[in-house]
Amino acid sequence: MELVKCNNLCKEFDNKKVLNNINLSIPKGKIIGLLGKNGMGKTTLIKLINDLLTPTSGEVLINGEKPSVNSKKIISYLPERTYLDKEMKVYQILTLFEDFYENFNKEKAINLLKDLDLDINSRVNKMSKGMQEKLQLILVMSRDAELYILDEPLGGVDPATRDYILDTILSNFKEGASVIISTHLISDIERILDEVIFIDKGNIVLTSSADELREKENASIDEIFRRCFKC
Amino acid sequence: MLRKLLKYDLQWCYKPLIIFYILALFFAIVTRAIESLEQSLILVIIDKICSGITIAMLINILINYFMRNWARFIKNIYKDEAYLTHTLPVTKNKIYLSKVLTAIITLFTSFVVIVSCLAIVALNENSWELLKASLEDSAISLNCSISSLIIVLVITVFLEFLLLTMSGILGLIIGHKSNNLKIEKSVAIGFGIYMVLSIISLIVIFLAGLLNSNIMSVFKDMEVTSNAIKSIMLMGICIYTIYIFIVYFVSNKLLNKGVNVD
Repeated sequence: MELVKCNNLCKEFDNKKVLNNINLSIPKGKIIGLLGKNGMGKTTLIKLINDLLTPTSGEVLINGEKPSVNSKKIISYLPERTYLDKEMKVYQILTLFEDFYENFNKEKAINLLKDLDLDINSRVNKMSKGMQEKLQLILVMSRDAELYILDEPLGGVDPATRDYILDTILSNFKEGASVIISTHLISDIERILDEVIFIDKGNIVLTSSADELREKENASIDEIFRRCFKC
Repeated sequence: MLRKLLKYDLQWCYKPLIIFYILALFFAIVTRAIESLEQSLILVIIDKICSGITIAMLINILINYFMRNWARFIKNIYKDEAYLTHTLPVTKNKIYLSKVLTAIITLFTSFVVIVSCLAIVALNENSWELLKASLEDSAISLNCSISSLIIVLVITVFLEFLLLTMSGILGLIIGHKSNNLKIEKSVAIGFGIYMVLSIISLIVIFLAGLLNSNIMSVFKDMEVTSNAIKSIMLMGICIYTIYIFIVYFVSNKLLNKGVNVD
């Protein structure tokens, strides 16, 4: 069975179609790149999978079920914005994650925070935006989830931080889990992708194995993307 | 999970409330202490300032009670923190129930602090005798005991405040669905719900007056008899309780239909 399945999924905002009849399957144990230009529906699709939006029509199934408590137990989601209560201290956030997620590994999170020299007694609002994003990434990757959904994890960060983020993702996701990475910065992540999904104007325009696509087009994913989405 | 949600909701709501509780109690005690000293012009001025601050703190407690509960709801359900709230492995029912229980608990403690402060500031031998006498008079005229009179009064006011809080939350839910959480419209919808429910209450009491001449005398002759007060207060408690359950179920149902987080 597929981990995630979208059947005829549509989403409209004020009568404007943002996602148009999406049919999609996300298999288990793969790293998938959800690739598309800004504003093409990547985040909307991710929010629908995470129960943050209600579909206009169609359905999203996770392990054969509509988004529910069970799906939330197995999905670890990194949104594109900071969702932490800024008045809280890091150790309080660790306790919160430990309280709610059975699969949260607090020790792993503390070790990753130590690598960053981040004091767990510091308050979120005293941290830089970059540090807040790293903290969120650590929280998300410290869960033994079946599906990690990372929305624009590389957006607006310097190349050194990009390397840190990619290393953290690759060395911390649970074996056998799937990872969906949404981005438009393809050259940085293409080496880690097993599968790619191209999304354009709310439509899935291509789904393929990354290796097969490279072989078929005799070009890198980045080049294919540029060709495909040329303005 | 409900216990854990409640823990975080209460922590967030109590953060400023506790400060106001402490300040209100502190200034109430200071006011009382000053009043017990031999009065001079300076002490009278300090006494007036302290009692003014105490009253300001009590008003702050009430304002903060409403604002903190509504702000928590908006932040957790529709703003950035919603990305965490809605991805926690908890049902929307429990998330909403936690908010309602938080409102009930914070309202209860706020009531206790307000009553305690007023007692500290104003209760002395004379005022106690006066209060006791007026309560006894009211109890006799209403044909009930002092304790049941106090309980009915407290429950009525408590339910009124709780209904106002929950109407505000329902306003935020409907407001978000219809206008993407433009806050002015949400507040207007919340206030509108409260007003509509209040008008319905009046109509229900009027209809009850058709069967009860004591109640009808309030509408016809503006004559407030003790029997009328008793009937209206008991009806009020029943009506508010029904409203609170209706508002609870409507909000819960709307929230369960799904959210659209910005």
